[in-house]
Amino acid sequence: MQFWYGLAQLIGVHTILGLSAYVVLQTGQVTMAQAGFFAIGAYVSGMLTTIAGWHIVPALFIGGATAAAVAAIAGFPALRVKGLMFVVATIAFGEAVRLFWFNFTYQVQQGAVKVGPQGGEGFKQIRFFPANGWTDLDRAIFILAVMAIVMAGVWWLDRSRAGAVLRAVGEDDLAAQSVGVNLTAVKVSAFAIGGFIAGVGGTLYSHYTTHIEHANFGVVLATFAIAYPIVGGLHNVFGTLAAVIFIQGFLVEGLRFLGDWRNLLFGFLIVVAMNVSPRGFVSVYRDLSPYWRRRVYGGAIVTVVLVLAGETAANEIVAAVEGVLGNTGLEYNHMAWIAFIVVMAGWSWSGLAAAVRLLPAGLRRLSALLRDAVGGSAVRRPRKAA
Amino acid sequence: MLEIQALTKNFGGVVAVDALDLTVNEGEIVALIGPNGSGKSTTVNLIAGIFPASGGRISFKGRDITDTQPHRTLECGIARTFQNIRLFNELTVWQNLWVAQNAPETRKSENFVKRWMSGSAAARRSVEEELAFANLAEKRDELAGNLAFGEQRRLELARSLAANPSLLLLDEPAAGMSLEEVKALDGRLRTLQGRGITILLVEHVMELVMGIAGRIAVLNFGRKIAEGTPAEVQADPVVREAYLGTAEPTAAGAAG
Amino acid sequence: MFGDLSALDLLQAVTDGLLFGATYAIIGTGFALIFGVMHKINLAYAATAIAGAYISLAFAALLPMPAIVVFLIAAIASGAVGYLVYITCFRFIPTTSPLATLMATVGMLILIDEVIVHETDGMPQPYPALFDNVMIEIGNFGLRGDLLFIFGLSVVATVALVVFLYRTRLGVATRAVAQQPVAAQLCGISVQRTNATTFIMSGLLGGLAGAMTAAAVGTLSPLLTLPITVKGLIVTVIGGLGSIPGAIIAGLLVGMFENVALALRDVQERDLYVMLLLFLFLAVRPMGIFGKSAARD
Repeated sequence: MQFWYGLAQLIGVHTILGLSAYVVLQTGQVTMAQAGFFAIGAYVSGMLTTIAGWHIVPALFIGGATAAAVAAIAGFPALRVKGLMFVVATIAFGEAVRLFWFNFTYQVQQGAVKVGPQGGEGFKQIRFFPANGWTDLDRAIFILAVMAIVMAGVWWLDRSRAGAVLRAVGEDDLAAQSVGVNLTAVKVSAFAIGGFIAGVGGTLYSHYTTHIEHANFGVVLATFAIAYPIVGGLHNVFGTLAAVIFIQGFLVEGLRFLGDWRNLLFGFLIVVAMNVSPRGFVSVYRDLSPYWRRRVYGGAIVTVVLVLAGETAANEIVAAVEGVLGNTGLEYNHMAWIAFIVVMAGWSWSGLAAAVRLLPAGLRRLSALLRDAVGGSAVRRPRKAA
Repeated sequence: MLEIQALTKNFGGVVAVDALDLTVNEGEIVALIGPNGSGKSTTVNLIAGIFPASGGRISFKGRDITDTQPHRTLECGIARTFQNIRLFNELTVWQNLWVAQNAPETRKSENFVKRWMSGSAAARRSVEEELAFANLAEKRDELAGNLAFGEQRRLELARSLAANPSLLLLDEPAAGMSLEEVKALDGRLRTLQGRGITILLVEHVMELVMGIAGRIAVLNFGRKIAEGTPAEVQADPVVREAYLGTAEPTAAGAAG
Repeated sequence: MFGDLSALDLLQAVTDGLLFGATYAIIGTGFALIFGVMHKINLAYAATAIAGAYISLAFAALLPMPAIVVFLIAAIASGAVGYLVYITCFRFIPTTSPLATLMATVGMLILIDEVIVHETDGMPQPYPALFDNVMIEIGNFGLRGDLLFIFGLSVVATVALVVFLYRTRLGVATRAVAQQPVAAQLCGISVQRTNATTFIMSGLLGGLAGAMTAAAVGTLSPLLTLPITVKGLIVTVIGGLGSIPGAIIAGLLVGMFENVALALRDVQERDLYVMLLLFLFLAVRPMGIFGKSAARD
């Protein structure tokens, strides 16, 4: 079960990161700065628990509050610009934060060792959890609880007037301004809220990994932060959670046996996902018929059952399979995913049949598209009248 | 109430509005007409504060609002609608109105919590009133983008009332409307006038303009070329040359 | 004068930076071209450029060829990859979903990078340079031959682009689609075809820039992708979105500034200064050098 606790912690932290971007993305600004606020929360809270001996819960709040404060200050100049310029500004800001921590050293002697961030070496020994006897399960529950609280908060924000104002600004900021919405106040507030949430996520991250360094908080993490809400859909917090489970669970962990090809598949799947569901998973799910929804649920239930049945059961299955097929290199944690896929496929036998039926039409359509992309001329010469 | 003096706006080399003088008195309905490109929409945008003027002065109830931002002009009591409807299509009808509850009186009656979270009773009442005015109460949970065109126009008008304006700037509210819808709009504007709201109307649809405007100003190439009652303007040869056309006025046009 | 630097050292830093900045100018131009036409940003652009450079290396390994041909192959290969990015990220995703397009380009960036890493086992490859043993000396001041060549090549490429945009039918079509896509369609211009052409053109430029960067640095590595992307975006923003002359000037400016910062400080702080330059522009002139301050309706 260790694996699943670790995965739960990862999913919890990344969902919080995704939600921090979700709030800002609603106002129509693509922010690449969330990794920076995440870093601020991580380092500040790490210092509070390690050097100042705080408990994690107040450290959580202060980590979030510090990030929120920085976001509010950085927000004012950054939000004067829009669109692409904002993206670039936030990339630069994120990098600046990373470079700051790269150069930041503050160490304190505690007993036999020195603790604290050490520039390029990173911040090691963030040992609040182990030092206080938290088990893997305790950590997982704590992180998931914080994630649930954050999700509830953002879900409730979505339903409040503030949420409607955020979405109005995101959709048409000129119209919003014309009905009396103070754009700067709204955008800075959204940015600060996003900063707070990211700071909270960062706190949990630094404590469960116990060792952080500047490279963890670069452009790649910033990209993940916006990928989750975009892939999941910007209208529903559960979309972000689904995207995190999909990306982190399925791709990063579940397909570990693919080894080096995993990242490639990740890129490929993002491209496919965006072409198939440009408005996010939630919008696709909403369009699913009850038939398909049943199958999605069914596959998920089977997966959960297998997880709970535990490692032993899965190992039995793997041993049996390998008895027939020889060494397949499968592990316990792959079984659940394979089971999920098999069940989905099995239940959707009729789906397969439908796909086969639809194949010729699909191919025809595809070839028409390709012909259109390649053939024709850019500027059609007028035909001479017959 | 609204005084515009020598208002000028240049976009690069193009003079969109050229030394415009206009006064709108309280309780009036004034119409701004003229060919396309004559600077009517630009004038509305300037009053609302969408972009800064290149010269001149706009004052409202004695206050200079020449370079004020849109959400501040709203606070002063000026609301506007857009030529191409700018509703929040992804929000419901109710949310569109709710987001717009930004009148100073409403704001004062709400503390921070009420304002951003559940909304105060006063705000909700106000939304209900506007829904009734727009005849959209049954559609309150419909996404604004899914409404029919006429319904969208009604919603936009209702939304502009949300902040209790004393002056309403309407940018081609009748565009694309059938004659029936224009008559209904005429009725609604008269109701608003009855409530004491002053209206400055930019419009091409003469059935509406001639019917409802107390005074008309005619623009051409950014300059005011005529001003007067509907009858005066219709008879003015300069206006007919530039815009109305030199054919005999139709029965509908002469109804004002 | 400045710290330990003499005026001559400073001039050297400025000149070298200016010449190298031509690569940034080309990348910025490529970004500006796509942004100007599609009004979207292609984050996979630098990856396209690097991929082109790698493909040219593959050809160079097959048969010996002069460096200039390698550069040209890089450009052409990059154009082809650019077309691929167009198909996967821009052709089928609705224009009403700009975020989806953005994420798709990120996906392609990762995909292209990973393919490169797999094919080369992540080892940096040496890249041929031209005139790298040439040095024009004026007293203690030197003009690096390879940098001069890069600069000259950039000038040629830019002139070719301008000729294309203003003198050829396809170029005019590109500009038409950028300004009024619907009207362009009504005139019989195929928007998809024109957009595909825009991507190929920017790919050609990108490949050239990628090759030049690799030649100036001496090695080609997938680690180049991210810094080039960030620099390219910064240059595009400083120059003014969608403005090609802006991108050119901004590219030279950033190259020069970066090199001077490197000379005055050290490698770690150099990037921080470039970012400060960006923040300065955003605070003082957010529309960039040649951008228009939008007076929107």
